[in-house]
Amino acid sequence: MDERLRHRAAAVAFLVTLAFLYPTLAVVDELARHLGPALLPLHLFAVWLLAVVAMALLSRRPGRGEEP
Amino acid sequence: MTARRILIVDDEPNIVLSLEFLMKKAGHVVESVTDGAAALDRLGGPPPDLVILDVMLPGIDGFELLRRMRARPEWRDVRVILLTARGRASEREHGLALGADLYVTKPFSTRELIRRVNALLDGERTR
Amino acid sequence: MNLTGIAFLTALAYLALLFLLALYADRRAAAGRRLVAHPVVYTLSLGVYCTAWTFYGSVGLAAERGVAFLPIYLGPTVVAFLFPLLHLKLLRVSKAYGLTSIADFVAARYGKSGLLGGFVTLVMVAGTTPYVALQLKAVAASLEAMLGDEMARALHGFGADTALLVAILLALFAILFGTRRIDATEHHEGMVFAVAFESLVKLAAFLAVGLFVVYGLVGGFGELHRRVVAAGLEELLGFAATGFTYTDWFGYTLLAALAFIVLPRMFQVAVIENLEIDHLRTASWLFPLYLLAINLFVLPVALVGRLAGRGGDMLMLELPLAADARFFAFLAFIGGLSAATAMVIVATVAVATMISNDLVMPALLRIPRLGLERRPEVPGLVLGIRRTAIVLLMLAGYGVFRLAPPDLPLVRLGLVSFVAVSQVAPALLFGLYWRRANLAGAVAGLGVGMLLWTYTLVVPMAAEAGLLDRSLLEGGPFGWDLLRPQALFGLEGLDPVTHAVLWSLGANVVALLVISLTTEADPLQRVQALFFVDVHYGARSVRPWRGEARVAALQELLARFLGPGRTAAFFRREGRRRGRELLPSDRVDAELVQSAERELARAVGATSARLVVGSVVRGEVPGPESLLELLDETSQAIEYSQRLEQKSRELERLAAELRAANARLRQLDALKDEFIATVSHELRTPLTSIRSFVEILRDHPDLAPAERQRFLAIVAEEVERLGRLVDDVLDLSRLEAGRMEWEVGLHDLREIVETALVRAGGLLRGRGVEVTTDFALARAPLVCDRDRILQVLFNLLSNAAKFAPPAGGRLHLELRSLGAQYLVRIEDNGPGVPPELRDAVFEKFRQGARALHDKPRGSGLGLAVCREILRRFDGRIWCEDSRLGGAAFCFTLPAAETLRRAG
Repeated sequence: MDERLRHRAAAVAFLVTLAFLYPTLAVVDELARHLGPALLPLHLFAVWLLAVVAMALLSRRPGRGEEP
Repeated sequence: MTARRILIVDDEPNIVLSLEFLMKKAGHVVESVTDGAAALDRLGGPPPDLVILDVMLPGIDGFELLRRMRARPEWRDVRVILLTARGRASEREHGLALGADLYVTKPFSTRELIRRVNALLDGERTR
Repeated sequence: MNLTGIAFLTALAYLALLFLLALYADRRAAAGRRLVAHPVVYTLSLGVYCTAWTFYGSVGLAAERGVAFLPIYLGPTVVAFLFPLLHLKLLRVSKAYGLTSIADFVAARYGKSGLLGGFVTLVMVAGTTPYVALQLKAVAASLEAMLGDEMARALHGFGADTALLVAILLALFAILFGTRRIDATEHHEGMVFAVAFESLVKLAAFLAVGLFVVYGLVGGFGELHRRVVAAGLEELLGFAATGFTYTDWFGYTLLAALAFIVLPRMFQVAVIENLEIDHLRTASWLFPLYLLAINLFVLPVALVGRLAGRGGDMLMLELPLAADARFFAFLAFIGGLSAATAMVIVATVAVATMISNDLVMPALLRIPRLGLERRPEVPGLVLGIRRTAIVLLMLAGYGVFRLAPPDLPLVRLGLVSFVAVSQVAPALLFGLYWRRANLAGAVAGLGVGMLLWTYTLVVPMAAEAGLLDRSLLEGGPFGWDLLRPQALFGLEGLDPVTHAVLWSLGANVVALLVISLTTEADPLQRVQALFFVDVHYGARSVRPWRGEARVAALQELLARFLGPGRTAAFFRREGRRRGRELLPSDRVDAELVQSAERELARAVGATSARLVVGSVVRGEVPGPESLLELLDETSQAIEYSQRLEQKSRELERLAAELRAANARLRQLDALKDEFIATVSHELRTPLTSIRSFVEILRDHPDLAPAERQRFLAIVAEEVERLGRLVDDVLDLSRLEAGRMEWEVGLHDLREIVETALVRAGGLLRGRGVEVTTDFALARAPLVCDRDRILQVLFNLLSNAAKFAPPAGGRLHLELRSLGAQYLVRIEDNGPGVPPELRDAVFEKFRQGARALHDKPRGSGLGLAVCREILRRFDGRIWCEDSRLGGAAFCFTLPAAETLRRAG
């Protein structure tokens, strides 16, 4: 686990934290009034899934031939 | 005591001069060369009975000269006294290992040197 | 057979299956084929975070307050993304030091403090017991839900009795698979494999039941959404339904994140049981995915429940049962049972290890009368303590479940214990990243945190249960409004848990910071701090230290705790590392003591290990002073290397510089050796001539007068040569040390050159050298030390004379101006200097310079002295080709400024 992975992990965690908390949440909740009541849970789960995918891609071990 | 032939190899003219004087006074026939190239040439000639050899010669060092000397069958039994102005123990070992009979550090006692030269010529092996 | 019987038997069969799986995994591990050495198994074992609360409580909460259940999972999700940072460090530290639990970890960080280890253990016991109770209650409640209301009433207490049976079986499981060996850092493959299996079961069960409920009962997400809107339940999807403020949302997320890090069961599976650090790579995304998947159907199931007019914690069971889908009801029941049992097993094993290693053993070891370190039955004792602790924890959990007042919701109790457990997080996290954090700070923080936890959470709970005066909550103690436990200092409008989290953790952190900054840590603590904070930067270094204690004593001691087999293996290993067998009569050194302590720490924890080893080498371990020295040295080295690591390019540059400097130093050293040898040679050569001729003169009084005269002249010449050499050596050393005395004045370089030529005239004539001159300047005023410049010129002229060929020697001397400088050029037709040696000749006694000329009859220092003198007057000297065919030595000197301006 190199420094690059540590930086990427920190970045993912930071962005996810922003998306999970105020003020993002307040904005989403406000939008939900216009776009449909399911927006808040959809937002939370979508961010969650996106972050998982991002982290899965970013934490791949560099394969042969790729730059380390 | 019959006269013996002694070859002096040193590049310091004054030291050569003093050695020549001492050896002649001791009754020996003396011949001297003052650089490595001349010394190498001399190896082609008839071997003397004893060589007084300076370690630090220009062109070739005394150790190398000694090695080449010992490589020649006719020079194998020539007695060799190494003279040096650098008194390191390792060099002494090196010199003796190459087949020198004696290793003398400059400056030396002239009486002692004469005594050792005569003793060597009379068959004493000091090492 | 009726449903009850089936459920009961299913539970027993399920537990039997777990036993078999654990046994199988242990066997495989013993045979060297580890089932658990896979990142997916590691990730699944982390699923122990999801307990019966996830299975039942979350759904119940969602039915009432929508997404309010989520922060408890969002916090750990964020932490999981941080695995490659935070847990990487936790793992490296605990693997390096053989740590056995969260209490051991924290205690070891703060100087292997028994006080702190015990404190943390107590907090963990307080935080775990209600949680165990919650699990047992969930098992009981789920069984009763399977029975249906009437049956449950008829068989009153059946669920509870089953819960007791389950508790006993779980205790048995924990004892069998969690306390087999004394070495707590050895991995419990069976337990971990069973837990990972349970994580899979509960996920599969949740997904299956969720799919059944959403698609089987309602007809899909779209239909569910339509019905929710139609029933006017869409409010439940918004933030308002949670009853939270955004601060509460943040508070719960933070609480869950911290608890996830420090919960004993989480620390156990994530850190202690980890087999390969690299598994974190997979877990950092797979575990968030697991959490996402297991939470996916919480809200939908809750909504379906609300549409059916239901609520409460048993929706997962009740919805399938109401639809007469017994299979799915069973799945849900098994899933819940999985969640509950996994938590109980891991938590009790983890906390029991703490109790034995950080509470009971240190206490027993401190009682001198017991003489524990001299008794043979210690390994059995440690295991006995752990087993007893497991049983007691399980019974305590059962007791809390049975005795808790009926109006005290267990979920609330669970949250209260979460807050207690999270108080350990500041000491852990600051300890991991901040070197100044010290024991006093950690104890103060934990103490203040627990006090506020008691005041803001336990006191109100007691008041609500009628154990304290209720007026305390509304009016504060003694009617002091500011001190109301749930609105401390006027902090109002928050959820009680958030209120408690903010106050207790805030005060905890502040106390830790303030006390750490204002108090000094003892040396041991500072050393430990260094090792923990800078774990990336290599292992601990050990100063050579040799005490009086013998290897035999240490051997005997270790054998008592570890048994003879492991002790022998340990000493064999140490011997191999040293390349020689350790004999019983050998003295122990510091390294061996530390290794032994680490080995022992695996069994009994860091604090106890220190006490035990201290009993053998007491008073002999390196004292605080030497530790302090080590600390300073190490910290300097570490800071240095940290800086280097931050900029790897700078590192490379620095390394190259260091290498070059090193090479220069070595070269200088060699030069110094060479210098001394050469000076000795140069001194011996004239001395030899002098001695020889003096002895000749002594021994031959009959010498001819002419010969006597000649020999005396030689002696005089050699004495002079010796004198010159001594002068040159002295000059050079003065010049190089900057201690030369200069007589600086305004002089004429032409006059100096001419004087030098006159002085060297005898020598030149003696060698038959023909001299020509070319002085382009009538006057050449300059500021210099006349004698020294004269010395330079004489030196160069006599060199030229020395190297002149025996016949037909020529020398050409030239003086002219070159810009603002004067140039002096001395050419000869001697052998010359090959281009590659033209710099070397100015070095003192350079071999190259010696080999070049046929042993110059000088000191070998002359040119070096010349260069130094000229340098003093901003002049330069070099050697080039001569038009005469030999060497040309040139030097420049700046012209006098005033006169140059005038001219």
